[in-house]
Amino acid sequence: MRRRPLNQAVPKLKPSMTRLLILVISFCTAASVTLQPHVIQAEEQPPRRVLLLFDSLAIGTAREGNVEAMLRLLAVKGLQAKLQRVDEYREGQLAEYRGLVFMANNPKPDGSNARHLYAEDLLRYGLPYLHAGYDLPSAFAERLRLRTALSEAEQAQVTIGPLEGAPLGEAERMPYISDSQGTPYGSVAWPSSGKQAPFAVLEQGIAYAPVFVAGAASELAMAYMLKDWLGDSRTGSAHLLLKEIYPFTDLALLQATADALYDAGLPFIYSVRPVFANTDFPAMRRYLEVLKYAQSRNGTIFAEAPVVSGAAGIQTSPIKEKMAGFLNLLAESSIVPLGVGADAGLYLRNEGQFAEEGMAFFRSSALYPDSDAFYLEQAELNTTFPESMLCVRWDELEPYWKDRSSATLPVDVAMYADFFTDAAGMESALRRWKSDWIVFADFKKGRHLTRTEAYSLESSQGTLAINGSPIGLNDAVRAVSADYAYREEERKSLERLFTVQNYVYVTVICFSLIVFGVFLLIGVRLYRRKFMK
Amino acid sequence: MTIADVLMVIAVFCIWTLLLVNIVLIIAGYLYYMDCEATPEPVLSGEAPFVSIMVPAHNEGMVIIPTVESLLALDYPRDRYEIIVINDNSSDQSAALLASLQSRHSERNLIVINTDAVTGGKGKSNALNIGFERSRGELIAIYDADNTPERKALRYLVAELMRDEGLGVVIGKFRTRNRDASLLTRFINIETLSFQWMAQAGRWKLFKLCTIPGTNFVMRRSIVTKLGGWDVKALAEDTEISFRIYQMGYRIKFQPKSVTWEQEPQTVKVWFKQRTRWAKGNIYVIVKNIPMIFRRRTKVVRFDIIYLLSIYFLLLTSLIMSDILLVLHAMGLVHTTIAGFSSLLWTLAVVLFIVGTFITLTTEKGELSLSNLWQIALMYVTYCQLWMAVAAYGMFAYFKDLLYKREAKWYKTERY
Amino acid sequence: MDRFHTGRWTVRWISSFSRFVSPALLAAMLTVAIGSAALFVKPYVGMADNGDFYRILYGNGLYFNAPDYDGQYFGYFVRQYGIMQYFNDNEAALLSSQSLFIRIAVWLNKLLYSPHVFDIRAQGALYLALYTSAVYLLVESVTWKMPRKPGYFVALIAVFMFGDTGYTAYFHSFYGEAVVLIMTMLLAASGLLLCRGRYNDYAMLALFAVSALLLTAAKQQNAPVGVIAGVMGLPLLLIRRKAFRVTAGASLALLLLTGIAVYALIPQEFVNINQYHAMTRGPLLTSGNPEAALAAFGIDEQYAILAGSIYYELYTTVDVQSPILDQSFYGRYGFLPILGYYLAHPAQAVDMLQLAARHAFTIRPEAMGSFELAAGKPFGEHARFFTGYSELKQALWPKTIGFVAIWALAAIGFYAPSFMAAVKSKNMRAAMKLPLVVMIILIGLSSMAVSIIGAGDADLSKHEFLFTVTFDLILFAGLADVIRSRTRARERKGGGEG
Repeated sequence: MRRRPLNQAVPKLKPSMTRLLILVISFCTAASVTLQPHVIQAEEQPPRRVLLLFDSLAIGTAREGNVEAMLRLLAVKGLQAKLQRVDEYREGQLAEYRGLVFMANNPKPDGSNARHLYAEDLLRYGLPYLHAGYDLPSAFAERLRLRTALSEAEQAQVTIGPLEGAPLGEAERMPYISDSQGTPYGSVAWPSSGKQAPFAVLEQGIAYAPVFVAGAASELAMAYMLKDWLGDSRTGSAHLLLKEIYPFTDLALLQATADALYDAGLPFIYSVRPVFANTDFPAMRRYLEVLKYAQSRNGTIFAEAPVVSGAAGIQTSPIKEKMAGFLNLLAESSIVPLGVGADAGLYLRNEGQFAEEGMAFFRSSALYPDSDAFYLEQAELNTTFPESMLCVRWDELEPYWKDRSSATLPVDVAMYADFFTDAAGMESALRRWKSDWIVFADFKKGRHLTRTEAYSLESSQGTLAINGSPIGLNDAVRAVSADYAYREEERKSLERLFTVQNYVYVTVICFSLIVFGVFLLIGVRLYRRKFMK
Repeated sequence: MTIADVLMVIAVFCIWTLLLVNIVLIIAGYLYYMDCEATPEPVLSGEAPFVSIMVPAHNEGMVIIPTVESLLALDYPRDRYEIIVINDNSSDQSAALLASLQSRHSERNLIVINTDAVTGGKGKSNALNIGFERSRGELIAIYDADNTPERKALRYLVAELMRDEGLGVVIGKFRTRNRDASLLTRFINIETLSFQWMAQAGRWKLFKLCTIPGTNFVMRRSIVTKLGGWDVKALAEDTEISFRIYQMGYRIKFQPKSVTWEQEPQTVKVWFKQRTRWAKGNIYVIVKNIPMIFRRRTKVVRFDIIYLLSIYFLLLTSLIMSDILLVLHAMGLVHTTIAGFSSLLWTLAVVLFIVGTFITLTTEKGELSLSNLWQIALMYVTYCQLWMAVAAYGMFAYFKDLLYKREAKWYKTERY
Repeated sequence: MDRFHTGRWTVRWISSFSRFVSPALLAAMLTVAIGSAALFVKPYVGMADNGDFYRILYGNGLYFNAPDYDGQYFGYFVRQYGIMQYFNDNEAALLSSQSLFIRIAVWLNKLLYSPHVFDIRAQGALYLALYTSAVYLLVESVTWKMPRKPGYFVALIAVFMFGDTGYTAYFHSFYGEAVVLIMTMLLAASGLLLCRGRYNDYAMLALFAVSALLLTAAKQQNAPVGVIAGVMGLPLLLIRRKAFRVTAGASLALLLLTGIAVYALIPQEFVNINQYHAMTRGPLLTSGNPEAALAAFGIDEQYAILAGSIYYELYTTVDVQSPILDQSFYGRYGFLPILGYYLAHPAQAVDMLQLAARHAFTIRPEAMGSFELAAGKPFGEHARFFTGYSELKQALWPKTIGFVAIWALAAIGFYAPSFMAAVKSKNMRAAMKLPLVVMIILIGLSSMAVSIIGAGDADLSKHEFLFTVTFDLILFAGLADVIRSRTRARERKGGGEG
């Protein structure tokens, strides 16, 4: 916030009024200075809480997983969310929230009481409402002057922002908006029948999207609407993210990829698996050297969450200390991890307080859609990541990304892929990235902060800083010597004495053996002569 | 450096030093063997001196007759030697058997002295003293009751003795008659051969020293007289006498051509008792003669005493200590950080032991065989450990006797 | 007057007792009593699942029907399971010999209890019955022709050692250890009975072969048992001629083939966790230079980061099932390459054996609870009823490889003299004893070796169960023989003086 300079034109006032004005102005300025949060958190407000209700998880249908997808979207927007079945809604619950999202996945609702309850509370509290799925309650449908119809059973395609003709859902009959008042977002088309309808509409805080499925295109489309629904002014850009990077990934390939991407002018993010033990081994140092190198090649490093072992049984482990240790290790090697990458399930299920303990260091997150369905029925998500990215598989969106480089994204999007297994894979991917129309932005250009007790790691406008001092990005990969005392050798007593003594004895014995050998030969001959005559 | 470390260092040093000493002895012994092969048999020149052969016996009814018969069959002028059997306090048929033997060879110089608990029964030394009183030879020969000497055994011994005035005693070789009776007797056979060819032959070659083995040897009468007979208190009367003979300035020579065959214990229990007795006796002798190390006159004997001392005390304790430490280390109860444990070294040492022992066996007919080789190896792990147990027990028994001031008793070796 | 009568009655009772109740029978009766008290009297004792049950369960037509099965892992043992009524598509053809016993138990359960719910007590009863007969035969083999008093003493030792709840608790679980325990004991007992010529030779030979077969087929790790039994059993051929020799030869050949077959054929559920540990808690753990160790297997040196890591830790760097490990880690080593590595680096092999020895004397692993949820005990609580021996064993013996070596050498040295005497006197039957002892020792040691090679030092106490059983069997046989020879010596001395 800029201080209004006092020398701007001010109408002539009486002296006492002037004094009063000066006093008031100074007070306001002072107040604004003290109340002003730290410059890097300028746009932050206290996180907003949203209630997410659903009537069915839609298991086995095309909408399966859309609840989790919505949770992810809300997390990307930095919201706190509570997930709950609509049947369990209590009257008055909405008082604690700033908005309600309802996933109406059940095409034939049983008309229970709960729906009335929440609708009443919504109207009472005047909160924004987002309805995704079947049967928008009549009160809201009226507001939107909504008329819906059912499509034919054919594959729908959605076009929004840079996407064109991305498949939406399955080839089945689905509701669509035939007419409504309100801002339309995107368009869904059924090519064979030529029908077209908006993907979603928004009017005075009420948003309706008839079809929302888990999938890159659908999520991105929903993000457009969410941005306006939440009144968020920020826009985002696309980033390239490579995950599944381990200390034993082919380091040469990591280095070569960083070089190739740099040469192609593509900034990227490496999301690297953490290491909690054996961190002073030469192998670890080699890993860190390559990561530092990647960082200097327009790469950004994300710390990835560890794997949660299914074989661990009942155990607790201090994830906070472990992650802090890993982050400190990165910091000591001049590597600045700007965010955390994790499977969405880790965050959403929050087992063992994983989000609070293991992820609270970060303000940026990349939550990967889980490949294993986990049918979450309730969740309390209180840890937020204000500068997060929506993660979509790169090859899910790229075929539909047309030349709309002017279109801005509603949210930062991380288009991710697993790191390659060989050079051929890398080269073919690189070819596609160079030739497609997606413009990848450098994550470092934004303001990001990761904080541990010992280090404050941040980026701003392309420079990285550790504890306030910027780091140079021109390091070449240093060779790491393999000499390492893996084990402290036990101090052997009197080592020299014994080695010399042993040597002496061995010599003496060998000499004696030779002499004995001679005797043996003589002896055998003598024996033969004496006894075998 | 823990206590265990210090003990290990000492133990290892002792073991290795003694091993080196034994190597030297084996080499010396073998060289002596080659010498002996090169020299012709000793020949008796002039008149054969009169020899009194003494055979102390206690309850030896089972073996005494063949012994006396082989003594009667010796290749030596029949009128120039007498056989004195001291049948000391025997409760078996010995007296009757000897009497009938006497009657069958009434023309020979065969004297049988039967004693009872009053007149005898005080041990082998006392029996020998009794026999000595009856003897008239200028040379005394002693044979154990279970020995069957070869025909020329006595002749060689006497011839060798008469050749050199400086010799006080000439000892012969003894072999195991019941070699094939059990695995134990095979081991004893190897042990006795290697002992004689290493210790006796080796010491003679280097220091002109030997110890009397208690049987198959010939001694000058004058010496016995000068010594005043055998020490009744000593259990190992032969070692005792050897030392006293050295002190008189005489030497004891090893003449391997003179051979006697004796009966060795066939079971471990009997063997254990016999060896413990020897061990105890030897310890007694050593302890008694420790002062001799410090007297200049007995320079020649110093080595022997030190050698025996080291074998019985130092080596034994070292071996026992290192074994105990090894076992404790294996059980994880004790921790040594000694750097020196080189498996190569120990393997070489074992090989050395086996080869060295084998060499001493090549001197005898029928012993140059592969079976002996693996038996030596087996001996290393079994017999030698038993020997350590014997020596330890002997030491223990010695101290017990010392403590309780018990009298030396004559334990008999069981016969089969 | 009354005291005189009672005294005489007691004497008569004692004499008829000792006439009719042999030490073996006493041991059997006590085993049944103590085992039943542990297994069939509330609170029932069993062993909790550590995740391994589902395979053997589903393969045999059972399923978990407890409401909160997941919460009971490690802490409580579950008594009742559902029996699949319809087509079971998980049904694998006999996974192992353990399946045989489970199916018999299920059949018994259907007969006597319910066709829908399987109560594990049916299996417990089956195993206890077999175990009692094994104990009977074992005690008979050492106390036959022994005077009653020392015989009873030996029987009591047997009950103390083998009636221990640490052993019998396995009967109420789906671990293969129950089968291993019974079959190893039968193997030893039948061998010893053959040595003494107690029962019909063909019967004992059959028992020997069958128990060895079932033991070998109990799990893939037991493959060496077949080979060892087949080879060390060769002296059996010398006991009798003609028909017996042919039968024995055929049985031994069959055992050998079974051992090889078990190694090759039993589907080794590619247990990635064990494969992982075999390297990270094996060569990488003990090597002074993990990168060199990896180079020996042709694996990328960066995997040194995983040195010493345990997959049971909650947060790890890499998923044990992940494709990157499959590609560049697991595929590069297996049982034989690791064995070769240890042979080439004996110092590390000794280190690993030391680790193995540290866990070799546990009968029941720490982690598993003994009671049911319904019994109201704390999570993971161990039973304390009649566990004197298992606790003593763990506390008493030095858990070092040196001690194991001493035990093996002492056992061999103890039986060697009688072996030599028997060979000399051409008594081939008695001469069989030493090869039998060596066979059992080798079986125990093989279990140790296979455990280390197969899974490094992770989970050792469970994998080394076979060793702990063989250790006890040899110890028991040795003790019994010492008592026997001292009794005989005493008799002889007494007879001589009289």
